[in-house]
Amino acid sequence: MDRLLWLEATVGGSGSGHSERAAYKSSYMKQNFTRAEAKCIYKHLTRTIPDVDLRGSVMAVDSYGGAVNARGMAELTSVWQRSSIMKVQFQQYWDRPEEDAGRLQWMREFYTDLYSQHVEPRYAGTPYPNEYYEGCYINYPDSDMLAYAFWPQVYYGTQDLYPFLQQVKRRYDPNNIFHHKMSIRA
Amino acid sequence: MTPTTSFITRCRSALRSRGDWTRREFLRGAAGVVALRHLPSGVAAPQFAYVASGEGLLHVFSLQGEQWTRIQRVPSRAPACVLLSPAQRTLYVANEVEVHEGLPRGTVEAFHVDSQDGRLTLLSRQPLSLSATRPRHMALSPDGKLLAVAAYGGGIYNLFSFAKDGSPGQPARIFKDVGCGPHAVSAHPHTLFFDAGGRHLLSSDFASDRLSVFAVDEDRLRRRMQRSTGSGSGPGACVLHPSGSFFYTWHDLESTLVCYRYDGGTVGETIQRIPLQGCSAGALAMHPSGRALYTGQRVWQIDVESGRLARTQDLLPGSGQIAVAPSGESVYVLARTGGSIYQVDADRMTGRLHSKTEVAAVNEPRSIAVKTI
Repeated sequence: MDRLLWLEATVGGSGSGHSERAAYKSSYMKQNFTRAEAKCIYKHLTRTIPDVDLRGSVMAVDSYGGAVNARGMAELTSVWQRSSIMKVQFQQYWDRPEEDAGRLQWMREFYTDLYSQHVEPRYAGTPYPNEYYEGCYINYPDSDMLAYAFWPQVYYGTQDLYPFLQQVKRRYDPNNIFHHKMSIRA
Repeated sequence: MTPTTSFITRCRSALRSRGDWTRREFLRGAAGVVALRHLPSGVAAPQFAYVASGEGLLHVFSLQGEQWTRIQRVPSRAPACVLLSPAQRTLYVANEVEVHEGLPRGTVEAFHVDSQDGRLTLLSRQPLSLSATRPRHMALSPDGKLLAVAAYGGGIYNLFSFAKDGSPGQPARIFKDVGCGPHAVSAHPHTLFFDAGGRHLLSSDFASDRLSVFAVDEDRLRRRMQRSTGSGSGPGACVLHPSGSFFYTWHDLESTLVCYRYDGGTVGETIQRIPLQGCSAGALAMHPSGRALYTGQRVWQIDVESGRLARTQDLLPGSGQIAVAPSGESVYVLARTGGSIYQVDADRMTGRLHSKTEVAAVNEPRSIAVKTI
């Protein structure tokens, strides 16, 4: 039996292929892309930045709807997004630390620009839940979103899910043993 | 002649003139020498005072005896504890905040202290480790090379070393504590300090009803021992006797002052318990002579042989934090309500208090440090 450190096993054996560095962002979309969004996506996917290698950049669109949106699933599971037709994944993979800044800058600017089109100004830069969006997917935790005080609502919605999860956290992990940057804050 | 040699001379003189000294009396005198050994001689008079205020400010005062002149107000996020480096060139501030830059963690600020005019200049604001929220108390190792921070909210201890300019680096050693008594839901480290050798860090945990002694290893902070203070006792402020033999703790929830024996990294037997119903001590402070302990409302004379306490004087009703000038000649009391700061004259040899003067007032005073060099 081979023994590996948890991080090595997770990163090296994830099945996603070899890559030393990666970044993810996400959004749930309740409607098809608007013309403004399509233009914005085209602009950033065809953008070049001097001395920044953007190969390995991915914008993936997963189809949603159907049984995923069955009424009642939001109450049975911790995934509350049950009105979307698409989940969009923004991904980057690269190897060299010196590329971090340029790649992350491109990704942030793309995402911020895209999600400033159809949200109230106070939520600009996020797919804050509204008639267009259903926030982000917590299994692609994106610490950039911590810049927004309302990040729990972006990931867990504006209803009673996050307060419920906070209750669970307080009950079963009051000492906050299991924590990371975006874990539930009791 | 230093106070210590003066005391020894008096002992010798007494022994020569009184052949009837009992062994007990002699030991008491000898223990006094042990305690007084820690009384610094030739300590300069306080020059500047730094007071943390709950309104988000550090107040800097220039001191000339009982004349305090405010010379600077410096913004600081929720300053809860201030501490001067041994060389008094850097002031450290624990910021009792829940979130810093979007992450659940408190911070420690480092300020350069101007050696001439005492004014502060921000050097750095260093985040604590993740989940180390609401730091309230700090301690510096005797050699000044390590800063220990107790994060009350996150139940975490952080240990920092310093850059050349005195700024703390990344938290190098981290200890996450767990457990709680019936009055809480998670650990809340309250007060901590190093023992004289600097190899052990002692702490009280208000929530888990526990005193701990940590070994400061090269690469980690390791709990060496823990001692329960009793379910629901809520140990808070604590202080070590200069002899290193007695550990005084205020059990906040049962309003009891307790003296434990301390010996080289081990908190031992209970020596004395003093219930003080209806009393809220808030803070403890030790006179450098080792002969007086100050609690929120009272002054206690310490039997330096046994560690036992005897009440001698009232201090102030509603006292909050208390600090003692290194010379032992002044005690500073921050009033819990009203914001007054009192300077109380103290006997350098015994810690007995004399006249008090209201020297300043700030909103919500929380902690004070005094610069003498």
